[in-house]
Parts: sequence; C-alpha cells; structure tokens
Amino acid sequence: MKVLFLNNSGSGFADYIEVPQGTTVEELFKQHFPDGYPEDFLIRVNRQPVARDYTIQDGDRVTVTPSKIEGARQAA
Amino acid sequence: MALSQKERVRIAHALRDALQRRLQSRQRYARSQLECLTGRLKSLEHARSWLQVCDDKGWTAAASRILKDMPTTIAALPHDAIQVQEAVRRCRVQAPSVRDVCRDLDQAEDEFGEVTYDPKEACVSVCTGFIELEDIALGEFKIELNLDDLGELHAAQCYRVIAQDPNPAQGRSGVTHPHVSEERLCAGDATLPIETALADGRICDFFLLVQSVLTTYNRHSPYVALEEWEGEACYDCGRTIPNDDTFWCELCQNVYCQECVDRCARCDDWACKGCLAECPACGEYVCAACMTSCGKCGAALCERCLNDGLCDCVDEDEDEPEPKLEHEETLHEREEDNDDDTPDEQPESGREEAREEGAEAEAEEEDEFLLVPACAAGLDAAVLAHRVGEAAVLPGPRAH
Repeated sequence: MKVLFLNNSGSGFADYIEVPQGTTVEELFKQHFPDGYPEDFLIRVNRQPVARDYTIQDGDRVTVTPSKIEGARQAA
Repeated sequence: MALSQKERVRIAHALRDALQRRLQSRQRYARSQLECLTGRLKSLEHARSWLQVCDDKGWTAAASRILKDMPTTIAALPHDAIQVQEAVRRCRVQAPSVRDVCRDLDQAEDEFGEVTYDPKEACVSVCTGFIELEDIALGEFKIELNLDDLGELHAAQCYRVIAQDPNPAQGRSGVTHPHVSEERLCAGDATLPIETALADGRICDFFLLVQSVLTTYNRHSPYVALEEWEGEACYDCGRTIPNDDTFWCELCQNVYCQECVDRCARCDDWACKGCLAECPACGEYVCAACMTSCGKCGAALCERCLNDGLCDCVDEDEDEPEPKLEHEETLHEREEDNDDDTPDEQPESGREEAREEGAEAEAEEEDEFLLVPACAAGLDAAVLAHRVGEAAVLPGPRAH
C-alpha cells in the first residue's frame, strides 16, 4: 500500500513509499530511524498524534519531525 | 480565538500565490544558470570548429593558441552544471491545495493552541510555549511567517522569531535566544527541512521545525553562550563575562574581563590596561597611585625608580659606580681570559697567588667553583675544578 511519508529530519523529503499491509507506526519509524528514539520525534498520521501500535492504512500521511534540532550562529 | 473559515481560505490563497511567485523567480534563476552553462558549451563548440579548420590547413600555432584558452572554460563546466542542477532542484515548488492548507492550519491550532493572521502584513503567526534552556528563562516566542516575503527568490528570511517577554543576553539586546539575533533564527541543522517545508507549503511542519530549534541549545555555536547570558560586558573588549569572572578597576570604576586587566607591579592591585602606565625606567606597568613624577625634570616614573635615582635626569657623575676590589677584578679578568680559545700563559705561581686572594674575598659570599684550564700552564688539557679557598690540585707538568 502507498503512504505519503514526510521526513522532516536531515535534508527533509516528502515522498510516497510502499508499506506492507499491517505495518504499525512504530515499525515504520524503526525502518527509517533504526538508531532513533520515538520520544525524540513528533510522529503524526494524517496530522494527528497516534499510538505507537496504530496500523497504517493505504493513503495515510505520516510525518516525522525531530523535537530537538541544533541551531547555530550565523557565519560572519 | 480560532481562525474563521474565511481567514483559512484567505491564508490558503495567499500562500498559493506566494509559492507561485517563488516558483516563477526560481525558474527565471534556473534559466540564467542554464544560459551560463550553455554559453560555455557554445564557446567550446566554436573552438572545436576552429580547430577543425586549423587541422585542415596545418595551422599548428593557431591551434595551440585555441587550445591554450580551453582549460579555463572546461574547468568551469562542473561548477556551472552543479549550479544548474541546484537551481532546477529548487524549482520543485509545489503549491498545496486549499484543502491541504486548511488542514495544516487545523493541525497548527492543535499543536500551538492558536494561529493568528494579519491580513495587512500578510503574516501567519503561532506562539511557542515558555522556553527555558539550562535554567535561563527565555520566555515565549512568536513565530511570524510573512507570506509576501515567502514569494521572493531568496526567502530564507521570510519569517521572524519575536521574543514575547525578552530576556536578552547581557550587553546584546538583539540576542533573545542563543540562536536568535535581531529576530532572525539561525536554523543550523533545520535549515534544509525548513526550506523544504516552506517550498511544499507545509506551514505547520515549518512552525514545528522552528520550535524544535528554539527548544534546543547548541553550545558549540550560539550567538551568546548561556554561560555568559547573565554576565556583564567588558568595558574594553565588549565580551560578555559571567558575573563571577568580572574584574573591577577602581581607577576608572568599570568592569573588565581577565584579558583586559593586569596587576600593578608595585601595589599588586588589579587595574585595567588603560589605567596602567609603563615606567620608562624599569619598564613595568604601574597604576596611577604608584606612579609619580621626578621633582627635577617632571618625568613620570614609578616611586621605586624615583627613590633609586633611576630618572634619566640624574647626573651620571653624581652616581659613580662602586670601586671593585682589586682581587675581584683580577679574578674576573682571569675568568674571562680562561674562557678564550687561546688562553694566556701565566706563571703558575702568579695564578695561585691571585686565586688565594680571590678565595678570601668570595668564600664568605658563596661557595663557588673555579675552573683552571690546565693548558694555561703548559700542562695536559685536563680541567680540574676546586672550591675557592682550597688549594688547587693540578696535574704535574707534561714531560717533553
């Protein structure tokens, strides 16, 4: 099934990806962020917060946004 | 107060118009980059056709001249190609549907509690929660997105971050957050995701990304470090210093950092470098209280130098050097002579006599060694050391 996956970390991309039936949000997160912790991200499905065991549906919009990102000082 | 449906639709249309303008600007820019690249390719094609002519006519010198200029053109090609590639990538601006924007605004209201819209300024804003980083209270911040500026080609600064209850860094009123200066956020690692979110018209993701930067402290690259947030500015260099690390100059009554102060060489008090002056006699830096002036010539020098008579105006004739003791003089001269490559040959008896005299004078002061080059007496080149006051022990004369 096709899911719109919006990754707001790193370079940030938005694209449709193929996801097997029955995949949960937690499993999808682990596939794309194997070293990441879900508590460090804002995970939204169809713009709503969901439980980690939510099963993704065809056509869902999944957004992952880091809750901690390092800013910087502008180069002189 | 929640946005009305009319306001949502207005925002959606304003956002779509801005993204359309931005797309148009970027397409123009991509075209200019492409013209640059194709211009270089045309000059290479031109060179190629001339080389063909030179080859047909056997004009080797002309061909060499054509080839001489080519490396510069070829070297610029990769850069031009990358510029075109990047410009084309940035044209990937997709205006969202009105429905998508309305849903984004719904989500922003859920995440931030309220979204406000100023139609005159064409600004959409949200407010973060109270932000405190490492026990420094920074307060709430308003993230204001200007939809008109979003339509510009370089829309990096189409938004502002405005402190609602500013607690700026000491001495830097424009720095209200370690990564915010003059209401401009330096997004650091979030720069590209923010740009992508804005390009896609995902304004809620944009607000969330900005909030993520505001709630994170990057101690390696702040405008002002939090450790220096509540300090004082050095009166000299302007650097912010933590309160515990400040120095007070009693003379000019100002605060300084450690780099801009020094101790008076006489009274040992701290003073800023501006309040310390160099004594021309001893070269040390003293404060105004320890500096005085010569009664004769008025020159400024420290009290100690003045008392020691070190002012330049003191007549040299009045200060004759103390006469040296004869045996000391002889001893010193001998030492200097012994250091030469070709030492003088002195009779041994005379040397011993001088040594005994010197030993009496110096023995009281310190215990020191006297080196006696044996070759000075025509002896083997054995250097023997003996303490002053003891009889010299020298090897016997060389057998000839």
